[in-house]
Amino acid sequence: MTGAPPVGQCVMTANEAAAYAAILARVRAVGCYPITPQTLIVERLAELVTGRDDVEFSELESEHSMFGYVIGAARAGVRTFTATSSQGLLYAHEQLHRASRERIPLVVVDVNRAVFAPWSIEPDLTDAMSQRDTGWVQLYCASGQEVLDSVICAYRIAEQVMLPVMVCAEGFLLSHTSELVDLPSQHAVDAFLPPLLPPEDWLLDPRKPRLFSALPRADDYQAFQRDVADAMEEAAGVVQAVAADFSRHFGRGKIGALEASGNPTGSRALVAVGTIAETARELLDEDDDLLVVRVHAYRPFPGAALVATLGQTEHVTVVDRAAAFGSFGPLAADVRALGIDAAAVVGGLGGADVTPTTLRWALEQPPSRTDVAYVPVGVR
Amino acid sequence: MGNVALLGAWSRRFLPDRPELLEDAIRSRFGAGAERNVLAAREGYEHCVVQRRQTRDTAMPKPDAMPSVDRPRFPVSTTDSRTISTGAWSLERPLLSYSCSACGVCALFCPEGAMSRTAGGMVVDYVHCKGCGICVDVCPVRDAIAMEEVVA
Repeated sequence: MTGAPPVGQCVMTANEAAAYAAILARVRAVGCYPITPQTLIVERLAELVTGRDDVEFSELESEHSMFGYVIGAARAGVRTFTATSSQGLLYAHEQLHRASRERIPLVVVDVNRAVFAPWSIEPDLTDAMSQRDTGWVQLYCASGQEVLDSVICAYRIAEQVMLPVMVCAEGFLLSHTSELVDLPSQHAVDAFLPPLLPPEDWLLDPRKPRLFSALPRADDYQAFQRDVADAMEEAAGVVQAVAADFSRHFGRGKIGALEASGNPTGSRALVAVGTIAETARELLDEDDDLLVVRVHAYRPFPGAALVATLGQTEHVTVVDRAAAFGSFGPLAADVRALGIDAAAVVGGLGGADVTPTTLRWALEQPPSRTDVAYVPVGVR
Repeated sequence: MGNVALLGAWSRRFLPDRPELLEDAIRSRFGAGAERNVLAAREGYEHCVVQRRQTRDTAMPKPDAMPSVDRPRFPVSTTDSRTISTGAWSLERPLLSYSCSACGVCALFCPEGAMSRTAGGMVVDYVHCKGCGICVDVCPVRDAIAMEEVVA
């Protein structure tokens, strides 16, 4: 199979949706290093770029090199794409810090997979959530359609604020599950996503050799970090604006920072990202006192929107599919930092099932100043 | 020796009641001249008086005195990077011999772009060569490049 992506409604996995989105975004440099459960993204991209001379497709010797490759290509002014999972993302950790601080507008799909040890290739968000402080915009998805739409939006966000964007999709639950995905035409994507035009004072230009990221004075170093924080703050507005513009262009809803469903004045709320929040919506049929909040943009963290959404809720429960030993789960820590005395539950690690029953158990856990409630073995 | 006396005075502050620790360190460092230095340190230790403690501090700039420097948006210089003499860091430098066949393999691998092929053969840009020696490692010709110590 080669050539252009199909158009219209097709049955595909989130991995295929990610590959099609990259091609529709007219990426010109793809760095790859296959890793389960991301592999199908790379395979599908390899097929799609066969015979094309406008896309450079490179297999690197590691994820560390792969991130270096896309950083370099982006700096030379071309739109790039890459994808990874788990150990691959962790191996590239120092490049993640570099990419945000050098203001590289990368778009990367992380197919979330549990972190060694012991071995697991199953879904778990610890890989991406432990990269929380690297200065990347992080968007967590709940369907193949949302992966496709978010990758296309991610280029607009990244290139507007000059920060890298990580689009996260839980392994297998999304990456290997076939579902109906509506593929836009190339024409429609072109109308939404203009060609990359990076700022000249940032671009690598062989005619103007300059020093990139050389040793600044301490004051200046600090000021450059502040610039990253400011760009992240700007990204909060841009995430919302781009989602609204996407909805207008493509005629289907695209959520920005978060999505709330159920009873907005209910006495209980469950907050989660990705598929756990999607499962929580199943509880709404039986529970008209419940609000489910799915956080899509985990960074920049939508603190103000969450306070507005959860401010009056009596009992808030946050379910993290990520471990953060010694403190609350990542999402719970952020929600609690808003002054919301939420119960912190950790579950679904290494692909452990999170069913409506698991979430009913989670909703029964009392908030605690110090304790994290790990879902016990047997509750599923 | 004045510095060692000062060191003795500091040790009164940071190694109270254990002057022998500093004296042992002086003996192991100074060898033959150690005992005179130990005496100097002891003098400093015994005569040290702490009058007041002070932490370095700075004043907040007045708002109207804040520098309104136009900072660059990105950590990228406006300086031409070719003006930076990275060659000044080198401890060794490559010397080409008559065996050099000007094949250009070194230029391909040189991370600084300091090797170039001209009509007259290979030329080394010593202003930018950091002396890493990769050219020697990749050179396919026997004895064509040798590293020579740079004498400051």
